[in-house]
Amino acid sequence: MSVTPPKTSQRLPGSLSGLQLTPPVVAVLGLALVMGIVPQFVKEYWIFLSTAGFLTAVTVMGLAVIIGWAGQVTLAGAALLGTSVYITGYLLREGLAGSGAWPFIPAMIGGVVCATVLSALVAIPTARFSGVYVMVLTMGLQVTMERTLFTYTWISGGAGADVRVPRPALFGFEFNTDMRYFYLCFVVMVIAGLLMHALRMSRHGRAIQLVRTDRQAAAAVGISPWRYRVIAFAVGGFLIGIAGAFTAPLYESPPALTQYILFQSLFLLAIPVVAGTQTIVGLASVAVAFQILPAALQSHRLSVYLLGGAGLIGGTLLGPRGMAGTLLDMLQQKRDVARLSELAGTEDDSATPTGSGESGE
Amino acid sequence: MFDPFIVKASLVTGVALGALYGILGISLVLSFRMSRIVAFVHGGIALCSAFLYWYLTADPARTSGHGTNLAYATKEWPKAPAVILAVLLGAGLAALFAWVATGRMANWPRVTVTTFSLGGMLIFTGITQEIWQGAFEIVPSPFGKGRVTLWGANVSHHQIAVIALLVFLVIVLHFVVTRTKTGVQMRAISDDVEAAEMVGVPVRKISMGVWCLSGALAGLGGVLLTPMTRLGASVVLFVLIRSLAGAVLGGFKSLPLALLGAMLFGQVEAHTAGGTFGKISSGWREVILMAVLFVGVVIVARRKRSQFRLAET
Repeated sequence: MSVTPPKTSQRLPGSLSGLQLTPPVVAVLGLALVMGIVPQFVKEYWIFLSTAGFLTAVTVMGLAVIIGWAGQVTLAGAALLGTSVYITGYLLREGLAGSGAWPFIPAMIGGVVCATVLSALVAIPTARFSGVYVMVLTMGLQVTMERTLFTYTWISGGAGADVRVPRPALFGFEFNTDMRYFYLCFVVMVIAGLLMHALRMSRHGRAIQLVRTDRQAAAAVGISPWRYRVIAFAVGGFLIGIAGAFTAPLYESPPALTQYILFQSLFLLAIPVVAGTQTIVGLASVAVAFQILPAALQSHRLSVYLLGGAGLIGGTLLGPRGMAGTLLDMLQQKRDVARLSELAGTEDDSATPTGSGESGE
Repeated sequence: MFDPFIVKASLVTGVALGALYGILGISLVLSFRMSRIVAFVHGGIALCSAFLYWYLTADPARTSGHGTNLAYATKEWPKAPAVILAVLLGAGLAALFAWVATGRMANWPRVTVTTFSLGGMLIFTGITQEIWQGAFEIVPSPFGKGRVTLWGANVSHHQIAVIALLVFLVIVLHFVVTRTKTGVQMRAISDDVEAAEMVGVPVRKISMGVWCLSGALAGLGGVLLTPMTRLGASVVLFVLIRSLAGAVLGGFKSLPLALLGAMLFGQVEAHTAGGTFGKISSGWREVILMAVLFVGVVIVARRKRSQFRLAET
């Protein structure tokens, strides 16, 4: 039996000699390289769009917890996002009569708490119902928010209002340029992804998923389906709230309320449906692509409705694992086939001497 | 104390609003009874049909952008053939959707198929936005421009005709669903597709037929509701949500109940907006309507759960 020598090309020289170039390591190194170099050579417009894409990715991670893990379809994604954007923006605003501008962290907490509480409040009475009713109620919440909170100009700023939402300064460092804010939002996205990963692996994350898979089995092992559905909605609202809190200073003035209407909720819903909720990286990639694609295809006048609709239809037809899951399955299948053929080849090689004798008989 | 004049005027307005919401409501209930999904796609179908009807019938001089190179070259056809074409378009689009929803997705989870229908709605909306970008138009009524005063409320001939047509449709469709062989087959499919197939019900044929009918109704709904509002994606979607609320209040169970739910919703909206209970801001009106929907969903969902438990025991 021959022993294959270790491939020297898989090891890095010097102090990194212990680091094996496994696919995740290559991906992290590639990403670091891309994040370090590419932004230096692209126009500020694309930096801004990518920043918005990172925050969309955080929003979608929140939706993935509700849709993918808890199996409930919420149509109030844009309402929760808008609530956090406007509340944080309101607290951060300068020159507002009767209130001074808050520092970023307390303002962010204000926005996140509002989105989390709102999401959990909807879940408390609806968590016992079937998905269709949750859809209808979250749709009702979306329309209510559109026509109440978002229309109050003292919160949302109103059309053409001359109010400024400053970019944050954290730990003595000013994130006052698009490039600095781009890196801050990237870090926020990575932290949100790691949090989501940790939660998925935790006891509570597994409980949420068990409730979706088999409600009765979950109840039989002492997991309260109602409680964990509410937790899923609260976690989803929390992540969407974080995205909203960082979106508020991105535009430096209150964004138009048309960005948080029902159609936007459907557009956001399309992302986890297309990407699937199995891989966080896939989810984030599709979210950034969905943010950048309409702008990249602007010359073709691509309607966001068409993009969102194609996403929802394509995503549902792909099945629950979505595009990222399907790609992973295909890669795994390819790897399995390669391994099987390799094994078959090894068996053939070892069987050849005796095999020829047997065939001679 | 309530002002009788305001109460009467709000009652009439409420019936008109209920009719507006009821049109799409009955198509939603029909498709729900067939496939157990919320057919959001009907919003997109209604929008496509409404745009086609407007394009075929509107006077180019009355479209937005008239006199500029951005004006829409509408056709000024007679109303009747345009209504027929719009209804046929609705049936065709619904057939296209049903081909996938009742074929490949026949045994998929209902929430997934409902999400698929949301995608259908966005696609159909996107198509209209690609063709008539930014249009927000006045749509001519198939029943003319006349108006009458009823109990202090100014009501158009269009609204009266819509209410009459709606009541007629609900009576006929309710008869078909409850008293005919096709209706029994529909209910059998709705309860258990596999069992219906085993006893020889032509599942695909009936499903496609019902979807075409509900699509035609959604198309007709688009044609009838836009003269009362305006033609735009957000308007039709807004009416769809109200229609959905009406259908939910009716428990998605029967067409008369859906109509009743739509009327109830219309009444609540008319009385809160009309000033029966004093001046209520538009924001609070939405909160009240949301509360009505919420209570309705809780009651309906609880009743369904208890029925399910009863069936299990």
